[in-house]
Amino acid sequence: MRREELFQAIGQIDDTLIVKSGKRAKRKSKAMLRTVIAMAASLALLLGAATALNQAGLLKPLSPEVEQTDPDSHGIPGGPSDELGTGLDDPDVPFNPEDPYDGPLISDGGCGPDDLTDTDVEYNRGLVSNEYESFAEFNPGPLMPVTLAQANSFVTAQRDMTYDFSEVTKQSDGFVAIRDSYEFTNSSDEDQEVTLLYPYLGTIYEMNNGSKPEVKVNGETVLADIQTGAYYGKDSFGYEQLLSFAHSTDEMDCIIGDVASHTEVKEVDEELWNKKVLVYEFSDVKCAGDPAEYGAYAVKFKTDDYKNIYFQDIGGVTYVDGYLYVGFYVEDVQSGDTPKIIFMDGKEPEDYSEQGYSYMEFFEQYEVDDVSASMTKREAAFGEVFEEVIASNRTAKQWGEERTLSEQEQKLYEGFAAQIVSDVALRNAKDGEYDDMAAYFSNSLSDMAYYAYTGTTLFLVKNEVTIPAGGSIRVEYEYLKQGMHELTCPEPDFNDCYGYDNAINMGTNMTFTKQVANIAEQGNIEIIDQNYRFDLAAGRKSVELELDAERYYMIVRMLK
Amino acid sequence: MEDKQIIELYNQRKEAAIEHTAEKYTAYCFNIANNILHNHEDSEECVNDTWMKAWNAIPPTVPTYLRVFLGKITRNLSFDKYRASHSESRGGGQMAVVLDELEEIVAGSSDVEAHYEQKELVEAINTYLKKLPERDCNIFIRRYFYAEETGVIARRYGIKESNVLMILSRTRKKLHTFLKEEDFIS
Repeated sequence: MRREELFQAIGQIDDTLIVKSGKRAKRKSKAMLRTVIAMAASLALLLGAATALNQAGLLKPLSPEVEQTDPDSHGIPGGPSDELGTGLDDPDVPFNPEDPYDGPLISDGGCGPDDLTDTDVEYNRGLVSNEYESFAEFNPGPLMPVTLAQANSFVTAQRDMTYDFSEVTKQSDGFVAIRDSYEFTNSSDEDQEVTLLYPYLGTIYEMNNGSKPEVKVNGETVLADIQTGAYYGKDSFGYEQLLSFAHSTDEMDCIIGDVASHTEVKEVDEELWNKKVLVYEFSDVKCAGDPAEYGAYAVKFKTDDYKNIYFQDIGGVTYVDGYLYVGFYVEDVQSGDTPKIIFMDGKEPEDYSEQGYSYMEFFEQYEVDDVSASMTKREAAFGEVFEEVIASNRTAKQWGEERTLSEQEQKLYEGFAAQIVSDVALRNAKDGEYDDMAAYFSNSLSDMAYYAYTGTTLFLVKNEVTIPAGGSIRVEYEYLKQGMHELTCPEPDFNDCYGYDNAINMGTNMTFTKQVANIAEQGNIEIIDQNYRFDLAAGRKSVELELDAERYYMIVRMLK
Repeated sequence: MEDKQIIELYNQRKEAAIEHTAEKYTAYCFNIANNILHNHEDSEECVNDTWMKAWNAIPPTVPTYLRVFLGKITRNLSFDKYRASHSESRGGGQMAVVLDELEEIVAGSSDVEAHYEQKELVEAINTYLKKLPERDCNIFIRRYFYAEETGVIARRYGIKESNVLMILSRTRKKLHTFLKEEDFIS
């Protein structure tokens, strides 16, 4: 088969698939950012509630005054669907063939029932879940059980976990309070010292917003160590996959594997950190027109070693005919970005030139002369350059939030970012194809730092306990956990719904003698699908789980 | 004007059908052509030819989705023109990159092994695409049906361009495996 035949065959695929691909963009809009901020507010309030509960020892109703998300974000859209201005969606969009991005780049739009066609319903399966597969556009991962750093046949556990929806509203973005309690029993006649590892799937951003697990041993809060574990691995198809992009709990299971295998703390690659590199840094970028709509600047140079060239704050990279084009937007630099190109071999690039473009498209027809920039060169150790990236990473600040990371979070963040950079560098050094993970980051140090902050990873909450001979101890983990959901266009049947997977044996070496699941609510939710056998109407809110089951799940609709 | 009304004009053999089609779908078809040809004049020519092809096809054809029907015609015409002007030459323009990417999928197969009908291949691709997660499927179509730039796709779906590249890389690998399993390539 020739590639041309394949291209022609793709031209004859089902019309419904083509129609579907032209639907409204699902991207982070202003409304989405407000949702994120609202999520932060919800988290803070819920955490406050959890703290209050802990202090008071009883439940008190909350009235969370969270910032409302834009109603349009889940409502009926207005305006044309072709926000990119390509004309490929809505023929009524005024079209300017000279301007590939003539539409607004950020939208407050959303989608709702009026947008849905039969095709949408067919493909927008959303929160369709069963015990082996859970798929949603955003899947923050299942609840996972505790494990031991080293398996211990004398130690068994009874688990009693609760999803507490009592204070959850439609504005809580699916965050539910989790209380995961374990009664560890030691059947031997000697005390057993064990290291407990509690797997928490989440992000540093979420932890910074209050979803960090709190640990209690026999009722006393203890300070637990937290370390990062898996963030990428092989998915169920055998391909490299980041945990954030796993489509199902099964794929997460594949990536994570044995939780106890992730305890090794990865050291920074000293050789990489001390490597002397050449840095090109760009500043003083100007253009004649409005930088919000006009102006990109790019450098071009010859290289056959593009894997060993790293970037900070760049807007586009293209490799064509042996030349690497690296571009950045004028507006972004004027807003505080500091574009850098880092030549890892420390050598000056060959056949280097700079050029202004009206768009981030490195074609002759977009070349302009009225975009300019200043470039300075310096030598530095790679580690210093990366520290600058970390320091300038616009994380919460970018979203209009003024928060700082705690010492523990900052350490986790820097360690995680360094781990990603080391991994990418290691993979880039290998011969062969540009693998998925490296392609994802495209050697962008800014993306790696950003991912370290917002990317899902496995965190291990670690604490050592002694279980007395013939006795037992109780350990509890309390935190907030978000449900899986569609970011934008839920099928009408799944409006205000979130899915919660409970992988009761995933990644653990623990022997459980009993597992019980509970649900707490105040008439503020309904369960629309589940395999727990909860019956809220009949008051059955506690069920004993089958120990050899793989997954339990429920899809919950927030009613208030 | 609604598509149903436009199609009715075609059925009645009224030339206003072309006028309304052009009014409504020029931008859509032009972009498909321009993504492939990167040439304003050639793209306009393909779009005009599209109206004539549609005029000859309707009736008897009754398109379910007029827009997609027209888009497919434009795409075919544009690709024919692209091939005529580029023959075997490589390099230059987005289309060359798209084809190079498709080369990865068919890599290792020979030109003389075509024991299948094109419609079987199309069905296999449909089956494959329907198995993909929704977003990956859409990204695949934006890239390999519309020949859209990866940066534009990234903006469309609100994700990083590098993520688009990663998804495309993975879907290509999976399609390669799938076509191999289905004996379309060796």
